[in-house]
Amino acid sequence: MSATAAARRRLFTSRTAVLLAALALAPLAAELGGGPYIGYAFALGTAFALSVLGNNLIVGYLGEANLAGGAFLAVGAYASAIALAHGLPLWLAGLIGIAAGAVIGALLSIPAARVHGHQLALATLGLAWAAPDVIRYAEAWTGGSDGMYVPTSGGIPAGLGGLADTYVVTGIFVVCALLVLVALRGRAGRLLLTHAEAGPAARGFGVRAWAVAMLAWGACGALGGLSGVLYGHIVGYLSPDEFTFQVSLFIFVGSMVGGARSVPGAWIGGLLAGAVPQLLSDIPGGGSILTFGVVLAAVVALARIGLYPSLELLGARLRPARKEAADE
Amino acid sequence: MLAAQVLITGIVMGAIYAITGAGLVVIYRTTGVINFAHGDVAAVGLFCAYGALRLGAPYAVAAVVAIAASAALSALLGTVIGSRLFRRRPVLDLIVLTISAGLILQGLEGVVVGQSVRTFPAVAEGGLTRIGGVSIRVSDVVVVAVCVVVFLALYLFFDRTRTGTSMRALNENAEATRLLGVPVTRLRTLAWVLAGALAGVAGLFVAPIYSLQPTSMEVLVVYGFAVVVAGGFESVVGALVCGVLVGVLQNAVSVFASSKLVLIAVAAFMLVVLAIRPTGLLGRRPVVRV
Repeated sequence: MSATAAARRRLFTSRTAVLLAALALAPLAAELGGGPYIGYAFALGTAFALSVLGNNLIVGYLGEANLAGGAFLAVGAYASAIALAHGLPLWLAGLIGIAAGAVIGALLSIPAARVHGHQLALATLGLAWAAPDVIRYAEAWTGGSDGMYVPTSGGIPAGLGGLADTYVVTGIFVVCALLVLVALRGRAGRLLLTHAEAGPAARGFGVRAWAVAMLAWGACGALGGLSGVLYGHIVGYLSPDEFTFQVSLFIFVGSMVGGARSVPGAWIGGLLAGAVPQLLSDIPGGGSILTFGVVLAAVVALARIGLYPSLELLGARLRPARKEAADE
Repeated sequence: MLAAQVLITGIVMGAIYAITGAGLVVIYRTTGVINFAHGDVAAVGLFCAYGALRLGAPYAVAAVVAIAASAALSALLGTVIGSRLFRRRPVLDLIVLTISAGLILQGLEGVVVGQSVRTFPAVAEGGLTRIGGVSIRVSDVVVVAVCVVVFLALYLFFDRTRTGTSMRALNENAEATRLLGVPVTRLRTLAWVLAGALAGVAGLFVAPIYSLQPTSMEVLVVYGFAVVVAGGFESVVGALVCGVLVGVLQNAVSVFASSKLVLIAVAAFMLVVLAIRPTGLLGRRPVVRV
C-alpha cells in the first residue's frame, strides 16, 4: 500500500464515526458530571477544536506550522460581533465571521506558497503578535482596550453558556468535522494528499502548489473564523487581552498533541488549548501558566507521536496482551 | 531632524534586537531548535540581577549576574532538550518543549516575584548629548558599542576558532561531524550557554525601556524572531542588518503612524521579505538533491 493510500485509509473509519457519536454525548456528561463551569470550559474547548481542525489542514497536509490561529480566531470573533452590532441577523454575522477568516487565510497563502518551514511559522506568529495591537488601533469598531460586548441577536443571548449552548457548539463541530472528512475524500482531499505525500510528483502532474496552499489556508482561516464566532458567542465579551500570541501557540500545540490528521485528536487538542487554560485560570498568580507549561511538557515527553495516535497505539499494544491473558 | 532622531533611536533598538537574533541563530545553527524560551531565560537572569541590585550590588556586578544566570539557565534548558529522553524526537517536538519551558519559567516568576512592574536601571545614567538637534544618551552609545563588539567576537569565533568552525560543521552535517570526533553534545551545550549570555545582554538593554515583569521579555522573542526570519536563519550578519532595519521600522511607524501599528508593520515586513526572498535577506538558498 502506498503512503498516499495509507493516509487516505486512515481518514475515515467506523471508529471515527463512533467517536463522533461519543462526542455528541460528552456535553451532557460534562454539564451533569461537572456542573455549569465545566460545561462552559467544555464549550470553549470545543470552539477551539474548530481552530485546531483548521490548523490540522496546514500541519497535516501542507507540512507547515500555522502560528496565527489566535489571529484567525480574533478576526472571526470581531467581524461577527461588529456585524451584530450593526443590526445584522445572527446567521449573516456568523457567515461574515467565517468569510473574514477565510479571506485572511487566503491572503496569507500568497507568501505561504513560496516560503516554508521555520520562516513561515514565525512569520505567521508575527500576525498573532500583532492582532491585539491592531484590535486596540481599530478602536472605533472594536472598542479598543475596553473591549466590546457581543450583542444579542434573534433572541439568543450571547455569553450565557449553558447546556443548549454547549450542544450547539458541539453540533457545529461535528458537522464541520464531517464536512472536512467528506471534502478530504473528494477531489480536494486527493489534491491535498498527493501534495502532502508526494509533492514533486504532484507538481509533475500539474497540481498547482499555490492553489493547494490557498485551498488549505483559506479553509483553515474559515474554520478559525467560525471558531472565533462561537468563542464570541460563548464568552459574550471580546477584549484584545484575550487574543495574545499564546492563544495561537496553544492552538498550534493542540494540533501537535492531538495528531495532525485525526479529527477526534483535533477535539482533544481543542480541549487542551481552550478548556484547560480556562479551568486553570482560577489558580492565582503565575500558577495557571506554570501548570499549563508542566502539563504540556509532560504530554510531549509521554506522547511522542501525538496524544490521540499514542492512545491508539497503546490500545493496539494492550489488545494482544489481553488476548494472551484470556488464553491462559 | 525628526527623521534623524528616528533613525538614531531605531539603530539603537536594532542593535539590541540584533544581539537577541544572534542568540537565536546560534542555537538554531547548532541544534536546529527555535527557542521560544529565549526571552523568559533573559527574564530570569534579570530578576536575579534585580535582586542583586536590591542587595546593594553595583550595576556591573548585577550585569554579570544577569548574564551568568541567563547563560546557566539556558545551558540547563539545552541539556534537558538534548537529553536522552528527547534524542530521537522530531525537531517540532523540541520546539514545543521550548514553548512549555517558557510557560514554566514565566509561571515560576509569577509565583516567586509576582506580576508587579519593576523599573530597571539603564546601563549608564543621563548624559544627554545633543549633536545637531539629535539627542543621544550615553546608554545608546554603550548599546551600539557592545553590539559591535559582540558581532566582531561572534565573527572571529565562528570564522577563526576551531570550536566555532566545528559548530558550523555541526549545522551542515551532525552525523559526519560526530564521526570526525567532534564532541557534538558539548558543542551544543556551549551554543545554549552562548545564546543565554546574549539573551542576558539584550535583556539588560531592553529592561530599562520596557521595565521588568514576567511577560515583558516577550519583546525579545517578538523582535528577535522578526530579525532572524527576515535576515535568514543561517546568517549572523543577516541578524545585524535586519536588526537595524526592524529597529528603524519600529521607530518610524511608532512616530509617524501609531505605536499600535508597529507589530503589524513588523509582521508585514517579514511576509514581504519572505515573499521576495524565501530564505531571508541574507540566507543561503538550500541546495536540494532531487
